[in-house]
Amino acid sequence: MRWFRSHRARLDDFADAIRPELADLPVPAPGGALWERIVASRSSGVRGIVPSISHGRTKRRRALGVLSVAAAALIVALFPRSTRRTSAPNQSPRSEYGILGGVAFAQEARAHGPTLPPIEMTKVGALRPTSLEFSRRLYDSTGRTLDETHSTLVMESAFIEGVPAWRIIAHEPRPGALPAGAVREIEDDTLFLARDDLRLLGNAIHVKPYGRYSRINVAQRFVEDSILGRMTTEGGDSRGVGRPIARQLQGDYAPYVNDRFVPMLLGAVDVRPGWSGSVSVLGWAVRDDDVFMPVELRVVGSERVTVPAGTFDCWRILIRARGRDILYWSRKTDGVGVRLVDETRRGENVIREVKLVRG
Amino acid sequence: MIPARVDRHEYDLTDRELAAAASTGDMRALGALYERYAPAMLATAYRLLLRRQDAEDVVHDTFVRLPEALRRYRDGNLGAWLRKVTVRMALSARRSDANRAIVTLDEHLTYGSGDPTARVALEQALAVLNPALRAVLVLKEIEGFSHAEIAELLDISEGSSQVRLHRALRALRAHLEKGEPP
Repeated sequence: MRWFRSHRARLDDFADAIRPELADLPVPAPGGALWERIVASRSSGVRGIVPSISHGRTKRRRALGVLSVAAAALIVALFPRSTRRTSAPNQSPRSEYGILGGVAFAQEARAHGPTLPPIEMTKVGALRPTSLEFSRRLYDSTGRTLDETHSTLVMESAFIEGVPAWRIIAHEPRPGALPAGAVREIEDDTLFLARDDLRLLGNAIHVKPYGRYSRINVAQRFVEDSILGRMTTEGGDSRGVGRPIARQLQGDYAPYVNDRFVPMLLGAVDVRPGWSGSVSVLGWAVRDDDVFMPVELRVVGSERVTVPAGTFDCWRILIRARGRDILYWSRKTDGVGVRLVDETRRGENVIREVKLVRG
Repeated sequence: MIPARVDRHEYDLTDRELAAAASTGDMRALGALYERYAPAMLATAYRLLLRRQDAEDVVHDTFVRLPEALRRYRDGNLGAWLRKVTVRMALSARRSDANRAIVTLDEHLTYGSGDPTARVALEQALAVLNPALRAVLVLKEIEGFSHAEIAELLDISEGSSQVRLHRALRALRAHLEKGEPP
């Protein structure tokens, strides 16, 4: 035994001595040629699977799994269902606000591109600072009001990192009937667009409360053809979570706009009788099915519309998004959206109507 | 070395952000991951296979498959996960190429400070070491894996990993001290 210890000790000494020598042995460095091979293989459609690698020790994972199941069972046993429900049924981070609201749940592009040509924002210089207020009413087919909220939208001049920009500040309570005792979610967004071409620069979204969290934050920045950023949650009855945002946007579906800009969008477009075009409305980009939503717009008439803000000559526009048809009225003088009627809200007997109250 | 049009913002992204972007097929994000991790992956593969071409094939195959693999990748240490994937790919390549038994020293590799003769001797000792022993030696003493991790990677017990390391060190010492074939 003593001999073994001595022998082992000497081998350990040898290992200690040889370890730096082994680590210092020269190894090749990856070159550009190797990367070019990789790119060429990917381009030619080569794919495959990598070996499955576990993320921890199996025994530990099993133990954690058993503990998780036990904890879940305990929660189910101790808390009645009614107390587990939170103020908002939707706890998965995705966009559900804005002028297009629920229809703007964006999703990954379809196999084919848009059928209409992209809208051309040729009148960016025509946009002016503005302050708008909208009412959003949900009612059923009998006309009974289910919910009514008001939202505000302010577009003002700004600079971001030295770039002349439009800053759009939106404040909107979450639409929809609330369960008894629930607190209505409020979303506050700050969006930046470059003034010269209306390209997206950045967006900060805050919703509070949000499900079981006291607040959710989504920070987006737009770099070339990608959305980058991060979602974080705060407070609530659970430890905060965070998710990175890194999405590439397909060129076929450009231009991309934020839903907060949609009420002013047509002010930058030369809308005429028979005009049509496509645009993609961005979501929060946290979930795979909430990155962007292709939207088609067609002028289907001209109409005088009366809303709380006044009576305006408008273009009557059919918006088609995700197989749903929405009627939208855009003021001819400045393109501002003054009314929207969505009668096909997820197959429910709920009609959503947005009206311009001020602006 | 910048492998592709990797913009400044890719350098600033975290591993998770790059992994998320690369999983969608974003080649710039994949390029950023390549720049960040390919050197270590190539080194690991080379130490296991001792042939540059074979090691490059492992890195190539890993990166070609990476976007799809990242869709299933869960949060964790991306670098550690990639190293383990590399080890598995290299071991698989070694098994499929076991009959070839070609060991070459790449002339282009430059030796740093120290005695180049001693380093060549060490390389030769490694090259003629039983591949099963060499794998454990490399993974434990150079790559820093624990015996538990090595056991999982090689599909052996922790005890076997310890025994193989002991034998590898003994054989290596014998070769270096006496010129004795391991």
